[in-house]
Amino acid sequence: MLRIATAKSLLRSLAGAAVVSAWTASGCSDNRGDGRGFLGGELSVVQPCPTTTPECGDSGPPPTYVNDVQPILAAHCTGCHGPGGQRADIDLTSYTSLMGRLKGGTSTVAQTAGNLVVNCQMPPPPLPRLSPSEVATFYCWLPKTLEK
Amino acid sequence: MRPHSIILTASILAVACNDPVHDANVDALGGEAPGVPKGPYHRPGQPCLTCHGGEGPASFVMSFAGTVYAHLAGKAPAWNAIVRVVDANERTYETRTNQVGNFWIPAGRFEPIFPVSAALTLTVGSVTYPRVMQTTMRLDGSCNGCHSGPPSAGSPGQLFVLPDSVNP
Repeated sequence: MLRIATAKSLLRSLAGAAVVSAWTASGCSDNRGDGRGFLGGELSVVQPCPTTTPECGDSGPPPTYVNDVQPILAAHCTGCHGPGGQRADIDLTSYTSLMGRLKGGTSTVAQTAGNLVVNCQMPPPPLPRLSPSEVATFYCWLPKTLEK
Repeated sequence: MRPHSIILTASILAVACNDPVHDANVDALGGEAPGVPKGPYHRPGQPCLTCHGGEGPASFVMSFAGTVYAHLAGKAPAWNAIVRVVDANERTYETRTNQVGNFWIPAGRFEPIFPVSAALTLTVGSVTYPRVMQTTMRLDGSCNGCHSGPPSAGSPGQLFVLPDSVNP
């Protein structure tokens, strides 16, 4: 009887040790999904925001909304600026709503939108930034579009 | 010094080292949920750093931890949501939530300099839904310490990432 009790106690201890070691190990692994609940982690340093304004040359075809701008907005903006988003009041999900926002306001609105993106204030940290080429596309598309 | 004096002194010191406020906070969490062992899936929604903040009783210390739900109301977890925090030195740590929505950053990996800003993203289908914390954290990384239960005077509501119209 005593032996059975001792064996049960030993098993309980081993099970406890297994849980503890799994818990500790799960906090130490760095892979994406280790089967124990910890889905990894990564430390990085935010790069400084570029201080130069994108140059909008006349060489090459100008960016278009459908081909160039809409994919950027869909990837980085409409999650917040769309239905159910945190800033759904500024709807950027369609050309009409975007232009209504830009042209409906003063020219300052478009300038502010461009500057927010260029100055890395939008998307707001710590969300991932637009790439330099995406920034240039959006920034250079704005004035050309507003001239129309 | 006599042996019983040493024991008495040690006992007094031991008692003096206990923080009754911390002990009460730990006790207030209650017991484990039935059938859920201690580990990555336990106690979703509870303030992780109460026990994992370095004062014990858990030995595994975290600098940030919390639970992300799909929606502001309800208990459906947001599995595989990306949690990004940026500290005052512009260091970013990115991790993900597990199947019950729990996430944590081991203290040995990242000791942030406050204030810290945070954002969540979850991709459903081809759409990525972000949710950005509107203010910065200035006190500690125990997210569920403030984000608990429904919105109230004492809480901005539980951490969530999706609009009500979208299911994970």
